[in-house]
Amino acid sequence: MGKPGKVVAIFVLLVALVLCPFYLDIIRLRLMTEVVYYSLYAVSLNMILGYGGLLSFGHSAYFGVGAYVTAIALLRIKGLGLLPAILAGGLSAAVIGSFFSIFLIRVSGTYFAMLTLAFNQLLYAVALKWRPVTGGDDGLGGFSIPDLHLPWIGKIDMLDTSNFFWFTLVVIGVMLLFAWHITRTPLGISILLLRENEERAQFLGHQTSLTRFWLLTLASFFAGISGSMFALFQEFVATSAIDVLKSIDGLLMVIIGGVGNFFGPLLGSLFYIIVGDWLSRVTEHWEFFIGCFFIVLVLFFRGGLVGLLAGAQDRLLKALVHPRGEAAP
Amino acid sequence: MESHLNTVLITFVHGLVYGMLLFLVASGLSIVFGMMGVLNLAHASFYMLGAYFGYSVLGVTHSFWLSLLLAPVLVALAGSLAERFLLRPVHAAGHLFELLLTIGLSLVMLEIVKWSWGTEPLPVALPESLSGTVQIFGSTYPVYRLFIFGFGSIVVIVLAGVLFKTNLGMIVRAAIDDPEMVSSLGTNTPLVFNLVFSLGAGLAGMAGVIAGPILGIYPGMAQVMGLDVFVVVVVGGLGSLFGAILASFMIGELQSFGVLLFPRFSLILIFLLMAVVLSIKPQGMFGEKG
Repeated sequence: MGKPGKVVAIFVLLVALVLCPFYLDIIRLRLMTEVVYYSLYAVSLNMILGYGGLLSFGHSAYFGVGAYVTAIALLRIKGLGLLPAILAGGLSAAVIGSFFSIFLIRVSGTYFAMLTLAFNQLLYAVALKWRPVTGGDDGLGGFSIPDLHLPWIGKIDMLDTSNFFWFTLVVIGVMLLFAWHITRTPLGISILLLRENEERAQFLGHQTSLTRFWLLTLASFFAGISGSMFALFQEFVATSAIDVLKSIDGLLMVIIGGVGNFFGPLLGSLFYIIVGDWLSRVTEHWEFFIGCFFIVLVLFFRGGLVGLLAGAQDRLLKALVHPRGEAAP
Repeated sequence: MESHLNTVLITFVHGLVYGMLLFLVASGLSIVFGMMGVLNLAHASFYMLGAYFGYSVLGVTHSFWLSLLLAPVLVALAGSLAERFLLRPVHAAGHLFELLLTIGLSLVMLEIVKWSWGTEPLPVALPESLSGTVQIFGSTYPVYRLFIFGFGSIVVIVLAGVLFKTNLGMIVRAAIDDPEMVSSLGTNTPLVFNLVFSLGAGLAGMAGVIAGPILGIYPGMAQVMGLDVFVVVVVGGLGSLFGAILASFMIGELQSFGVLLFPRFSLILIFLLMAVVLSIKPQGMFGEKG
């Protein structure tokens, strides 16, 4: 597919996405909303895993902080606006993320994975035990989504499923553009160098610890925003937002979609949410199939869905260019 | 005053017993990591599998001792198959994919257990010969817990004997230092890896069988044990048997006294310890690889 072809395809997909409320019933629209906000969670994890080459087992720490802070802020501060509530979630996650990264910049490989898991568990334990603030086992509910006040347009009711879907689409869309932009900046290139060869990057004059700090802080900010949207959408937050399984959810989305490709996690979250929902309705053992799927992907399709698509595209092109099955030069 | 002292002593013994269980599971995990560089996140699932296999063998044979013998062998077999057909093909793709594979494996094993045995906790009776109590420190204490400690000690001694006195042990220790060199000296390292992996799984399975009667058999048991074991190997240092022993008892006591002294914060305490150790010395107390 050439460049114009790609642009057309993306445009068609975007239009199809924006028009979702017109052709999906409420249940499917709610599912699509989940796909949209989880896609930012997956993209932010992919920034660490796919771009930075660091395996994080604790990404739900930031997702959870975003979700809890938004919920707590809405419960405690009367008349808090919608956007400030979301921003509070994202910024708190970024603050926690930058604090953790002071320790995380010194380790890599398995030790990075373990330390992220430790921090994740630490926050999970706090969420479980700090009952007066987090609600512990019972979780936090009883807050509702404030209306969105826009200049010129006025008040928009966020309890309406379609409105909330569009709102999610805009918020997550802006964040994704921001994330996409970062991958193109010098910082983004420095992050890639981190993955390819950290020592050489240092020789070239890159301050890799600073790169890592920004990578982790930004990724936790995005995960926090995703978590905020989760809290608003569910109108309820419990420890399941901050446990290790939520971190694994993120990893699955990234792996399914394709590690290291910006669009991979978008496909991954779509696939994971839709197939996960379908499986959970046909069988109560859906995690078994998810696990098998995970194993098959790791064994045979390490490029994920994006890799599969690219492979199919390559074969198609080869078949067209060399119809008699000659090997491509 | 005396009752306080009793409580402290009993709590201490409780911690020792739990520490022993932790060690049985952690030792395999630590050695496998030292040799193969794989942090097996499905390791605690072998512990769970052992408990369930033990339950079924007990149901068929009505013999605790047979279940203690057979279940670990079955778990070791499962471990051997998992290493040969899942882990080995992914080895060349790097640690990232190995870690991810073990997550998938743990999900699958959890669901297989739920499928085969249901989600309800299973009742296991103590073996009759071990169900009594004894008097220690002026309090009654269940014999079974003391049995766990004694049995575990024997396993530790046998394990240390194998590791430090036999040819296989020498190869394993050498492979922890430098697997490539061992391989080029003519040892069939893939076979050794497989053997050690299944042995580790079998040990975890054995811990599952003996833990069943006191800690319960339920699908969440792998996660509960997994987190504690994870802290043990991280704090002790991956690849170090001595570190695993020391850390097992540290965590065992910390759990035991933590529940007694600050019931609300014992969970936080353990992960705080782990985060602090990792932040100061990422390779753990006795880990040698940086």
